[in-house]
Amino acid sequence: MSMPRTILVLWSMLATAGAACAQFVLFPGDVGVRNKPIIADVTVTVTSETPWGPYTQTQSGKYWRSRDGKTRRDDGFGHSYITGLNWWRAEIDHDAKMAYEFVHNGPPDNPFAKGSSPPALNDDPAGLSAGLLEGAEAPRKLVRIGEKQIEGRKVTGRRSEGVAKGYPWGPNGDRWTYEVWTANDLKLAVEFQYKTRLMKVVQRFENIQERDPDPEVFRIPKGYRVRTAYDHGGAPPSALSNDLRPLFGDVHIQK
Amino acid sequence: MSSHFAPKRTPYCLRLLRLGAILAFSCFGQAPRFEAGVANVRIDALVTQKGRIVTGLEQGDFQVRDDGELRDTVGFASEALPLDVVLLCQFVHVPPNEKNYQNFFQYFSQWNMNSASKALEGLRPEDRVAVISYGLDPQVEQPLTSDHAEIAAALRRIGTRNGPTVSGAHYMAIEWGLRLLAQERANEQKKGEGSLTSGTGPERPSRTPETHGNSAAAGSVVPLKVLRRSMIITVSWRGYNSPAMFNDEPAIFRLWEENTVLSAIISAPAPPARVIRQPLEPDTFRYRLDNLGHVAAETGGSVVYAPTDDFPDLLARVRSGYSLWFRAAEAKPGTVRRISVELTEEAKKRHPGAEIRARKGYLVR
Repeated sequence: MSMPRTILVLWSMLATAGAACAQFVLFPGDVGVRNKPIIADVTVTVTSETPWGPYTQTQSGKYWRSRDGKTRRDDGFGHSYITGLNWWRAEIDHDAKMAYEFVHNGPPDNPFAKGSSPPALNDDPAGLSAGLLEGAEAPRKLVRIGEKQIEGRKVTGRRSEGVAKGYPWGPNGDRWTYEVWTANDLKLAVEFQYKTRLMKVVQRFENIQERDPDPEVFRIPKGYRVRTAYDHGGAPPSALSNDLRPLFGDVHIQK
Repeated sequence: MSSHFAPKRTPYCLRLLRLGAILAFSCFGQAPRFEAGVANVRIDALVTQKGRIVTGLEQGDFQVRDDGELRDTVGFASEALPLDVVLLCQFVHVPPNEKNYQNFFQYFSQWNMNSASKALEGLRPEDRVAVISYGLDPQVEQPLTSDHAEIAAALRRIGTRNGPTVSGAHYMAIEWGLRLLAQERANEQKKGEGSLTSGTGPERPSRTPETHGNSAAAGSVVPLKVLRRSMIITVSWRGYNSPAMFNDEPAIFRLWEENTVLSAIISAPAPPARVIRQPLEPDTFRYRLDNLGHVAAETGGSVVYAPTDDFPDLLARVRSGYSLWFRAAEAKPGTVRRISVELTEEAKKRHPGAEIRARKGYLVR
């Protein structure tokens, strides 16, 4: 595969993956985990130093996970992101009563198939190795840093650090740190943070309840307009296949 | 104030006021008046027809809707204004161990800097530009200046650097840009209240600098200091987070608060034209996927995909907008209100197919 084509494919994949992650909750590695059901609040706090004084921003949301691995994350701005089985997913804009639905019907060796990379599912529940940091020097290895209690649960911490170096034209020396605290019983990263020299982002799961969510939360609400796409639907390459799949069909109304 | 300064200050103030009045009336034709004690919202609207900027429209040609309800406009201005522009340039990332990619990414870096230069082609002597670079953390490369040589030097410096980036970097850079503009306004205001060359248009002269931006004056004549418009231009080699971690809304709300337009130049490797050219309308999938494109659309800015798109005059698109004021809704502070601007049926007949670019909301204060 030529380099431009490789880049194009990579870019297309990232664009498609980006849609699944277009939210403030980060955990692609949590998708498909068959474990205890969860209902929780999520808070993300961003702090930063600027030449004009400190900056703080907090966003709150909600999280659901079913026993069979379906997840839903709601942000504070009227959007839901649902991930179902077999890589079905939907993004919902509740204000507009509109949903974008992604149906995966590709071959098993599809890069988006479960078990493939990205994302890693086991010791990397925050999906760090899936490329939080762009580029080849994204942290590959999380070092265990100890155990503590969060929300009354025993959690295990892992950290990865990096320093930008070896760049032909700089900048060198910029440092970043990732830290993730995972509740092993839940297989959930209940606290996660990353830091650069000036910015710190902390995401926390709070008020965690171990109970089954209403199955309806994993469905597109009735009456919503829906556009469906079949991502990497096994269609043979064609002259027009270098597009950003998935492409969406006409709008239909959810029954 | 010491009394002995009074005789010297009075004529100066009078001169300023006189000059202000002349400028205000020449800028705005008929200066609108605002009712005291009422917060008004300013919305800048650009009208284009087949890609060309439409001039000569009047207040009565526009309709403003606030959460769907038709609102009377209480003020109008239609003059091209000088700009304060913050250019946010993202490093192109060349992985240090990927020698094979370095030529490729060097090409991208050049591409980005060319895009930045193109974006500034329409600069006028009275415009000012600041440059901020960002990879992991932002860095002010050049404070606001009208000196084109300084701006070019800052761009050249960025063009020779590269480094990693991280989710959230776009948004932090936008915040830096907004704060830089706000600081400049505060400095200008400190330097001389009512100075005619100062300020990026605190639309509410009776208010403090930090509350500038969204609403218009509770006062009398249209503010004399609506003399500059604020704009942020992002130049990034991808327009989205990877993986996205932040919602766009906080950045959008801050840009609305500061009444600042964001335009995004996005370099993408061999973008597939048929998808890239889908309109960035709320009902399209790409609307939210393309984070910076989404932010731009919400603030009335433009999106340029380099190198495939024809490069519009981004500055003219902000400079030449019409300013409309309407009364803010009475609602809880912080409430998000969606606004839309359209031409009246009569104006549409005169300008068939005309399109309007304006911010799509505001936050109630």
